Amino acid sequence: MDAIPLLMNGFSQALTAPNPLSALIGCFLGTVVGVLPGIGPSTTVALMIPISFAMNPATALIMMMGVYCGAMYGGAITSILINVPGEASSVMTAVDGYPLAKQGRGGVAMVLCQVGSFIGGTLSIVGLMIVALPLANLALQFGPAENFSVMFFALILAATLISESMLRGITALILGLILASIGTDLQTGIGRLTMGVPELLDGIDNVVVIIGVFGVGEVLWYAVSTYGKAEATLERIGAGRWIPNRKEWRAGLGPIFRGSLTGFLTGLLAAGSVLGSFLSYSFEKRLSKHPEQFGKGALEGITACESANNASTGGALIPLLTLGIPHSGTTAVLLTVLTMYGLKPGPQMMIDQAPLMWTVIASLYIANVILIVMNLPAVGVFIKILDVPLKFLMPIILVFASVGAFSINSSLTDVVLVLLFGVIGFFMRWSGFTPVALVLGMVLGERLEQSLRQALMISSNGGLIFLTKPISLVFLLLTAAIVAVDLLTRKKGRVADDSEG
Amino acid sequence: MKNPTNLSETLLPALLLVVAGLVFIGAWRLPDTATADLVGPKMYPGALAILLAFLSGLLLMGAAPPHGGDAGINFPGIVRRFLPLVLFSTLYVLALPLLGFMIATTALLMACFYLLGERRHWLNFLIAAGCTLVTYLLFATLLGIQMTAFPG
Repeated sequence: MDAIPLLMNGFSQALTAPNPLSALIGCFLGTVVGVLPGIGPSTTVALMIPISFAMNPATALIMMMGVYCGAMYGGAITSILINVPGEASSVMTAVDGYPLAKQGRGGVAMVLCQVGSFIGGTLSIVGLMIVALPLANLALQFGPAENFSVMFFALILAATLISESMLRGITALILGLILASIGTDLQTGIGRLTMGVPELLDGIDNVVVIIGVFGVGEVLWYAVSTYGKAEATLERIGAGRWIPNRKEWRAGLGPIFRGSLTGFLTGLLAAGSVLGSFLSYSFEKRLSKHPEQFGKGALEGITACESANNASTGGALIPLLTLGIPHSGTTAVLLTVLTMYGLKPGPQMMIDQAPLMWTVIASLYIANVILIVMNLPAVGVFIKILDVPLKFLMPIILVFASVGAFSINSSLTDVVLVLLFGVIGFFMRWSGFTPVALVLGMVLGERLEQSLRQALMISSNGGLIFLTKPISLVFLLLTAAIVAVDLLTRKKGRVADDSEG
Repeated sequence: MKNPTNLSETLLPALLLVVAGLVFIGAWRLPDTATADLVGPKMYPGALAILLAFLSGLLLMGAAPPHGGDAGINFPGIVRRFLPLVLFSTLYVLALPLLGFMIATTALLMACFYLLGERRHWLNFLIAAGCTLVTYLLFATLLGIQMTAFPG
C-alpha cells in the first residue's frame, strides 16, 4: 500500500523540531479551551492565525490540529465533574457523566472517556487515510433534502429516547427549535423574534443555552433541593477511585468502537460531532439491556458519545481536505488557514501536496498520543474538584458559567441570557422535561430550517422532494419506525404497570 | 396553595402556551417577503408555535405520565434559596460594569456561600477572593478575554 511510506515520511516530518513542540502547545491549549466553557476551538484556532504567520505551514497546521483534537478531549472534563459542557458535542457526556461523578465514579468516567477519545480519534485518522476519497463522494450525495431528513431523524430519535416522556421530549425539542429561529433570517435578512433587542439579531449562542440550562440550572437545583437538609449530607461528592475495574472496562469498550464508527460517519455531515454524540448515545440506549440506567450514570452512554465526538474530527477533515467543504466552525477556520498558505483543498490536494498532507495526518496520530499521555495522569488532579464542599463549589460554578458566557462575545447580554436559561433549566427539571432535547433542538435548529428551505427551493414538486430522494426517504422511514416502536413500547409498559397495580 | 406536584406538572406547560402565543404573534407580524421557498421566514416559526401550543395543551390536559422531577423541591426552598440566588445573580450583572470583576465576583461568591450555609465570613472572603483571582487570571490573562478588573 502506498500510504505506509507516505505516512512514515509524514511522521519523520512531524517529529522534526519544532513540530513536536508545536503539537504539544496545540494539545495543551486545546484541552484548556475544551475544559473552559465559552471560548471554543474555532475561536482559538482563529486567534492563532496571526501567530502562525511566523511559522512554516506544517508547524502551524500541526499546532491547529492539536487545538482541534485537544478541545474534543477537554470537553468531557467539566461535563463530568461539574455538569457544565463547554461545547454542544459534550452535552451527552454530562447526561451520564455528572450522575456518575455524584456516585463517586467521576474518575472512572473520566478515564474511560479519555481512552474512548483516544480510540475514537485514532480510528478516525485510520479512516481518513483509507477511505477519504470514497467517503467524500458519499458526503456529496447529501444535499439539503438528505441533510434535513438525517437531522430530523436524529432529533426525533434523541427526543424520544432521552426523555422519559415522548410528549415532554418533543415539547422541549420544539422550544429549542423556536430558540434557534431567533435572529436574522439568513435568506431574507429579516430579524425574527428579537423583541427589539439588537443583540438578539445574531441569534442566541448555543453555548449560552448549554451553560445556562446545565451549569446554572444545576446550581439553582442544588440550592433549592438541599434547603432544610442536614449539613452532614451535603458536604461533598468525593473524588472516589479513578481506575476502572474489569467490569467497567467491559461496559465501556463495545460502545467506544460503535461510537467511533458513528462519529466518523457523522463527521462527514454538517454538525457532525453533535449529531455523532447524540446518535451514538441513542443507539447505545437502544442496544442496552438496562436502558433505564441511561441518564442515571451509564458508562456505555459516556464512552459512546465521547468516542463519537472525537472520531468526528477525522470524518470532518475528509470533506475539508478532499472537497474543500467545511462542516463546522473549526474546519471553516482551518480552510482559511489552508488557503492562506496557498493550498487549494480538493481531490488533488492529497496528491499535489502529499508531503504536507501526510505530515498533518501523522501529526493527528501524535496529537492523540500526546493528549492521552497528558490527560490520563491529570484525571487524578481534576477529580480533586469533587472533594470541594458543594456549598463552595456550586457558587464557583455560577461564576465560571457567567464568565464563560461573557467570553463568547464579551457581552453582558450573554451573561443575562445564561442566567435566564439557568432558571429555565431549573423549571424544566422540576417539570420533568429534559434540557438535552432543548439543547439538541437549539443546536441543530438553524441547519434543520436552512436544509428544509433550501430543499424546497430547489424542488420542482414541493415537499415530495423528501420522499423522492432515496437517502432522505430511508431516514424518514426510520424516523417513523422509531416513533411507532417507541409508542408501542411505552403503551406495553403502561399496560404492564396497570395490570401489576 | 396548590400541591407542588400539580404545580410542577402545570406551570411550565402553561408558560409554554404563553410563549407559543407570543412566538406566533411575533412571526405573524413579520413583513411579507417574496422568497423562492414555500416556507419563508414567517411560516417556520409560526408552525413551530402552533405545534408548541398543541403539545403544551396536551400536557396541561395530563396526556403525559406523571414524573418524579419535583422530588426534594419545596416552596420554602424556592423562596429562601432560588429567589435570593436569582436576585444576587441579577445584581452581579448590574454591578460588573460599575465595580469591576474583582469586587463584584468576590461579593457574589461571599453572598452565595453565606446563603448556602457557610457562616464564617473570613473563610468565605478568602475562598471568594482566591477563586475570583484564579478565574480572572485564567480567562483574562491566559485566554485574553477583555474584563475590567477594578472600577475606573
